[in-house]
Amino acid sequence: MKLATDIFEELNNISPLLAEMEKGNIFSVPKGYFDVLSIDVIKKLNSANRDVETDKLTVPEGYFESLSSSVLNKIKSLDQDAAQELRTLSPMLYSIQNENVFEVPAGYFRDLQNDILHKVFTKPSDKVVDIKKRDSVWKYAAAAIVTGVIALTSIINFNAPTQSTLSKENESVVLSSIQRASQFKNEQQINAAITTLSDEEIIRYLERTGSDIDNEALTSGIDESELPAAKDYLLNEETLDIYLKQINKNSQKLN
Amino acid sequence: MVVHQDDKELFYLFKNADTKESAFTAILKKYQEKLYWHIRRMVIDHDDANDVLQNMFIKVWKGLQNFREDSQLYTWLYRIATNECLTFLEQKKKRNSVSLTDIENGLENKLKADTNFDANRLEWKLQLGIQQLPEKQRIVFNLRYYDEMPYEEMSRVLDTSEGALKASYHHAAKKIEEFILTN
Repeated sequence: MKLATDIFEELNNISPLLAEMEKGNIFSVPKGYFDVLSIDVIKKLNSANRDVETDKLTVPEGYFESLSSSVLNKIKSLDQDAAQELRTLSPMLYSIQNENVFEVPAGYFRDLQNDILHKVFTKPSDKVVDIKKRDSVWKYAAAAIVTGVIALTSIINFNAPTQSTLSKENESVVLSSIQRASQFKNEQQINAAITTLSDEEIIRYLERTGSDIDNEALTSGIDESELPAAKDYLLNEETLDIYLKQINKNSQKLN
Repeated sequence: MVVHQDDKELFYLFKNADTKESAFTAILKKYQEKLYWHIRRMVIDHDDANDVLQNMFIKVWKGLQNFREDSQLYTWLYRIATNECLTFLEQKKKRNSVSLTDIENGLENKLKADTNFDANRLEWKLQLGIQQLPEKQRIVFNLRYYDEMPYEEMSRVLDTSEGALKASYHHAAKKIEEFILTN
């Protein structure tokens, strides 16, 4: 078999050797291959189409409706496997794995959402009070007051006659105050109660307890790093004396 | 079996649901041998050629509905066949984790393993020379030399400019000649 004229001429220009070669076919095919090829292809095509159709029919009824629960069950079973694995590895760890050693304040999770929302939506201009700082100030102030109360009570008891100096009227005021105070058990309750106070009530309070505010200003001016630990105020008399002297010295300076 | 219907008529019949299968069979019969040899010269082995050809016709069945009539069916079929050959060789390369040179050596070994192989006969030397060519150059040479395809059509099949195809054919013929003369 010869090449077409134009192709022959082109190849003859490139390689006369190739152009002059007889264009034979060295390959062979199985006998009758081309007679059955179209039948084979159609068979394969039908088989492929059948597979596709069969696949569509094999999805069980309600499969997608129950898929989510199946997946959840699978996840649960995986969790069980993890627990089982831990039980095998260490029965001791397995027995304590759900014990929680940490505690949160009562009602913490109940109020958490509101607290966060409140913080998120609080206007930037609102005054931010550093609770930690105030706590530390009040800690020392409270310790000093408690110490003072104990000392004062001891002196009064040591020198006083056998009967209480509180009148019946004052006793009932103190008791009612204690009862009212017992309503406020945590800081949130106290803060909530403060927000209900009118400006006039706050001004009256400040006028009446102005000296306490001075004390706060005094204590907040103390360098905390110089102070002894809180427990020492109550347990070690020598430390208490040093502390009281220091407070007196500072208060004299201020006055 | 020789099919006398032209490609436009066959395509028209294929689009009709009633005559779709008979039209497809006619297209298959019309082009099966040409495409088989095009594939066979690329993959050498008959079983491989048969697999590639059958897969190629399954793709034709799925894609012919979207065939654009502004191009020739014949060109389109060659394009699919060529792509299937290249994909097959690429997959084979990945499967065996071997380089293209190893594949070409494998094809050369397949030729030598043929019961009719005769190293002294020119037509076998020609085939061995063709196997030395890079893949794309081999396709160009086969399409021009065996299928006598005009460059214009080859350009559409391989999506390459006619000038680049002419240059490629020139280089391929020179390399084969050199191989025959030195072996």
